[in-house]
Amino acid sequence: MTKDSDYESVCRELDDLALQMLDQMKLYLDLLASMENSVKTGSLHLAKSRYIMGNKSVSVLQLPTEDSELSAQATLVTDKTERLTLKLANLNVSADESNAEASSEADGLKRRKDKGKPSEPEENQDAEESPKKKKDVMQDPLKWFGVLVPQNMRLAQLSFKTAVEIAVDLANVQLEMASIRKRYCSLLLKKKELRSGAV
Amino acid sequence: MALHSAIKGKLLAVIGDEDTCVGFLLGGVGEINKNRQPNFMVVDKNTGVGEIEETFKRFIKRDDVDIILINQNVAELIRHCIDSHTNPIPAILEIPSKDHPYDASKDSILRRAKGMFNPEEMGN
Repeated sequence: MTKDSDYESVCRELDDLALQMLDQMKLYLDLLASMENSVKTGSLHLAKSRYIMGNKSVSVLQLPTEDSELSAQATLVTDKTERLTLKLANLNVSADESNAEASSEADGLKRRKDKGKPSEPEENQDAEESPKKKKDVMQDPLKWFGVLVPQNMRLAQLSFKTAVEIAVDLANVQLEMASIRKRYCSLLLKKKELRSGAV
Repeated sequence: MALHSAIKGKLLAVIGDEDTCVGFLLGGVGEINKNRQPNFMVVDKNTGVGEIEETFKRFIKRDDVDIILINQNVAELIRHCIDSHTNPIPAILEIPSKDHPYDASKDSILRRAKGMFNPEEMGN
């Protein structure tokens, strides 16, 4: 009797998991459709900027080479509390840059004023310098293509930023699908055992 | 180490054509680390399959990469490598490019998911 009810509950759970998987697959395809849309829009804006700035002005040649150091502005954090999920840590490319510039300007002014004061300890200034240098590495990628970039370049950046956000969502759906599949396989084995036990 | 990676954050790697790489780097995913290893690879018509495969394997081995974005047409060239990668992290995302629209029937992830509904494949 209990074996029968066990078998029933396993079957029900298997059905639930199969439905969940179908939902996730649908979500995955929807997200990919919006990703395709963003990439297409972004590419179109890149093509327009290429038309405005010249063919070789928007190409691989403008990307940083291995000689220069570059820090990613879009990074991920892993959240392992319930299940493995990825979150976009920081994606404030242009905002970060303007803040960094503003703060470095303010620091510059402050330092000039402070020059007259001998009481300021040297070590403190050094400590302030190091994070600033780090910020210099994290510059807006738009600057690789020149100072006055066309509006289309900014629009392309926006589209690709959206694509990055969608990519993180896609990765999370993929992780969810993997966990559903794993659970489904183990339940299938359990079902087999129950069936062979009953016979 | 855990503390260090928590502060630094993990990366998205990109393997794709010129526009895909320029675009995603414009979106802020690019990084070149202290060993001068970039997290992106531009694939053009002169790039060999072996080179793509090598870069893909290097990205998989790197513990600071959590997502690998790869153009679907490039993924087709190294399908055996993608199919053999079964770990959830790094997640491999096959993305469309401007010349090659997305084809769901080629995607390894969806094919694996569809296998769940195929009794023969699940060994039922």
